[in-house]
Formats: sequence, structure tokens, C-alpha cells
Amino acid sequence: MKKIFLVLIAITITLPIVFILLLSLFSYYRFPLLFPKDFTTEFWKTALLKNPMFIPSLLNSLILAICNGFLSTLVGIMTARALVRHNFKGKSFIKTIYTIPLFIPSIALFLGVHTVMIRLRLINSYIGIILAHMIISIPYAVSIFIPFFQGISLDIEDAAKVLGCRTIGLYKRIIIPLIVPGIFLSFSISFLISFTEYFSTFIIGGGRVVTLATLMYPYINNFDLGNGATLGVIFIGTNLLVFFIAEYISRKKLKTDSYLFE
Amino acid sequence: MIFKKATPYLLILPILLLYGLFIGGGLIGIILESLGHIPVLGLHGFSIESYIVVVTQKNFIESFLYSIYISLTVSLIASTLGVVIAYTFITCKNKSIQTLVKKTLQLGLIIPYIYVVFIAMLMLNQTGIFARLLYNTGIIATPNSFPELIFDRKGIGIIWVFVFKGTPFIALFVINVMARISNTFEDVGRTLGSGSITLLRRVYIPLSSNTILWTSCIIFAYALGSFEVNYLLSSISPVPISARLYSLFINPDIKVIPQTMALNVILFLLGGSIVGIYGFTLKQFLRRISR
Repeated sequence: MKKIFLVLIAITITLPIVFILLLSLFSYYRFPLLFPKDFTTEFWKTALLKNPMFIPSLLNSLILAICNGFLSTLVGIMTARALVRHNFKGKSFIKTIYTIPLFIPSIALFLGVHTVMIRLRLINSYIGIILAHMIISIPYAVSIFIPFFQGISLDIEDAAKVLGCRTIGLYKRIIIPLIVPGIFLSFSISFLISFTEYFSTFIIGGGRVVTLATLMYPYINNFDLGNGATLGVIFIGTNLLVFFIAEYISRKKLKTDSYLFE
Repeated sequence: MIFKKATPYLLILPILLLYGLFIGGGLIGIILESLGHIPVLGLHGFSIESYIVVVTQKNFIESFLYSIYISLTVSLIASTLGVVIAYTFITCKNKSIQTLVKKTLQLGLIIPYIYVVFIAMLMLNQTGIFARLLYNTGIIATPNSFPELIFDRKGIGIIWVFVFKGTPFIALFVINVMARISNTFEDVGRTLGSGSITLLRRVYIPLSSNTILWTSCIIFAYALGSFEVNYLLSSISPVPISARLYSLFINPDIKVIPQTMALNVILFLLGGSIVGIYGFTLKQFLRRISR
């Protein structure tokens, strides 16, 4: 029973993706055909070679996602460290508000952010988009690092300090090695959020900064089967590749089985 | 020594600046504009007129309730499915199936919402893949006898997209927590004669209730405030509140700006509170079923 249920779930998620792959390679799909016919490479040629926006949008997506991954992880580490190890005024305030961006309806949140971006002249800029993506990635990063810092015993840090370890040394030799799995996880989740985000990229990028996600919009709006499917395969493929590389590195370095949700 | 004392404040400076400037500043910005104070456009003065216009507009309440209905349905289905998948996953001891399911759940997580909209159109259309399946097996005679599932009044298409995206999200986070629950609990429970359902209720849900709670709230909030899914898949009437807000936002008439911002403020504050109420109720519910 359990096995059947789990396999069914796996099929439900995989099935549409198989169809998308087929639709990017076959052009004839009239009702009531179940599987598309007539093999063609036209859609792939259009997407990869003829679309002048393709390469820039792919690069934009990657640049934004990598920057967001690094910066959100950094802010996540800093905030979690402060919350776990330090006592300061307003600690409980920070504890209550750090997840708040996830609970505000995103269109309302980003239209608000949009008004600030206009005043700061950050519209149409990479920096503006990265900051917007950070707002929705940092809550995850902080929640990832809190348990990691709680897991580092104070005794280890004190021992290091007694042995003459300065702050930088403490981070380099003790703290960073212990939170490396968290860094991988936080980076991947932030990367993913930025890579798949549509609305904030669109309104803050103002149509000037095109990413893979915003490039897809017209095809989806017009329900352009072949070209839409091809862009989707490229999108999912790129994402899988990035995660495959990250997993490979983490397996080599950390010797853990699966780093994304172990 | 002064530096030591300043350390925590330096550590929280980036998050404070980011949130303060963009969330706090954004809220102040939209409140000012909603009151009709937009000096750039030569609009001065403060009045709550735009709020009255927005609230008394036809179908405003309907839109809001419709969005709450969608979010509630989505989060309840996705949370239930997510928890059931996670529990089945943990108790299924077959390694290869576990690997397969985990990989496919991760696959579900990496597809963007906007693309799941495309998948929904492909699958649920009257000439879509489900309709073709039923037609080819002879269950339906014409594509028209397949029910309208997208752009429909009940919001089935929208709900399907959010469930498709939300379930893997909740399942993966809950699996992550449940995997750490020691087997000892299960062994003790089994020895004391509890069945699978009791174990789930008394052991697994209470120990992962925090994760269930916040993932469920995130999905609820996302379904309430996401633009792309609600806008692309909604019927003409009723319109989800976020799609309504976006239509106002792209209206070129500058006189509409205060109304847009008034609706924005309402969604920001009221939406946030509704998520809070949902979270609180769910918390009570989780506590009750684990008794």
C-alpha cells in the first residue's frame, strides 16, 4: 500500500515533465492524440539559436541567483549568530520579524518594495532585484542557521579562545567548518528562490532585466505549446544541472548522502 | 570592549536595514500614496476617500472571500497530503522508493509557479492530457463533456497549481524533521499497542508540528498573494484579490493610483492578519488532534 501510494506521488509529479519533454520535440498534437507526433528540432533551434534574449536571460538568471545565494547566506549567518550567541536589545523583536516577509501576501509586499525602489532609483537594476529576492530568501537562511549555531557548543568556542584564537580564526577554523552543510543548504534554497521568482523580477526589473522566468511569461500567456515546453525543459534542466554540481561538490567535501534536505 | 558590545548590533544591521527600508519603508510609501499624498504627481493632502471607493466597489468582498477560499483549500489539501506523504515516506523502509520519491519531490520544488501554470493548462484543459486519457479510454465522448477545470469559477486550476507546488514543499520540510525522530519512539509506541494512525497523531505530528505550521502558513500566504497563478488562471468573475490589485496597478490612469495603493494596504495588513489567524487556528487544531 505505502509503496504504491509513494510511487503514485512520484508519477504525478514526473508525468507532466515527461509530456513537456515530448512536446518540445514533436510538433503535431491534435485532440485526441495522447502522445505528440512528427519529430522536429525546430523548437530547440528557435529557443537556443534564434531567440536573441535567450543567452542574456540565462546569464541574468544565473548572476542574480548566485548573488542572492551568497548574500542571503551571509545575512542569514550573521542574523542567526546574533540570535543564538548574543544578548541585545530588541532580540525578541528580531526573532518575531525575521520570517515576516513570507507571511505577507507577496504582491502587496513587492508593490510596497517597488515604491521604495523607485525613490532609491534601483528600478531596472540588478541590485534592486537582488535586494528584492533577498527579502524572501533571508527568512529561510536564518531558520537554517539557527539550529546549526545552537549545535555548536560554547565550550568549543571558549577552548579555542583560551588557546589564543582571535575572532577571525574562530570563524575560519571552528564555526565555518561546522556550519558548511548549512551553507550549502541555504545557498541552494536562496538560489532556487531567485531562479524561479517571477513577479518581483518582473516589476523591479521593469522588463529591462529579463530572466528565464520572465522570458517564459508570454509563451505561457499565449499557451504556445512547443516553444513554452522547450523553455520549460531548458529551465528545469539548468536548475537540475546546478543542483547536480552542488550535490557533487557537497558529497566530495562533506561526505553526506544528500545535502538538500538530508 | 565597546567593539564587543557592538558585535550583535553589527550582526543584525543588514537584516534590519533591508527589512526596515524595504518592508517598513514600502508600507509607509503605500500608505502615503493611498491617502492621496503623491507630491511627484502634484497630489497633496490626506483623505481616506480612496479606501471608501475600494471597499464599496462591486465584488470587493466577493474577491476577498474567493481568495481566502482558494488559500484555505490549497493549504489544507497541501498540508494533509504533505504530512501523509512524509509519514508514509518515513515508515516505508524501502530505500530505492525513498530515493525516487525524494528526487521527484525535489523536482516538484524546482519548477517555478509560472511554469506550473503552463503544466496546468496542458493537463486540465478540455483538450488537455486528462481529457485525452478519458476520451481514449471511452469514458467521455467529446472534449466538451470534460469539466471546465481552468479559468473556472471554483478556481480548480488555481488550486491545482498551488497544491502541485505546495505539497512537495511541505512534504520535504516535514520529512526532514520526521527523519530525525528516533525509532525508539516508534518501538515504544508499537510495543504499547498503538497503530499507524495513533503513532502519527501522538508521536510524529506533535514532534513536527512547528514545521507543519510554518510551511502551511507560507503556502497559505503565497496562495493569497501570488500574482502570476491567480492572474493567469482566474475566471472573469469572481476575480482573486491579487489579480484585482494587479489590474488596478497596470491601469494607466494616474487618478487610480491612490485606490491601487489603498487596496494594497488592505491586502498587506488584512492579508497578513488572516495568515496569522490561520496559523493560530491550525496550531490549536494540531494540538487537539495530538491529544
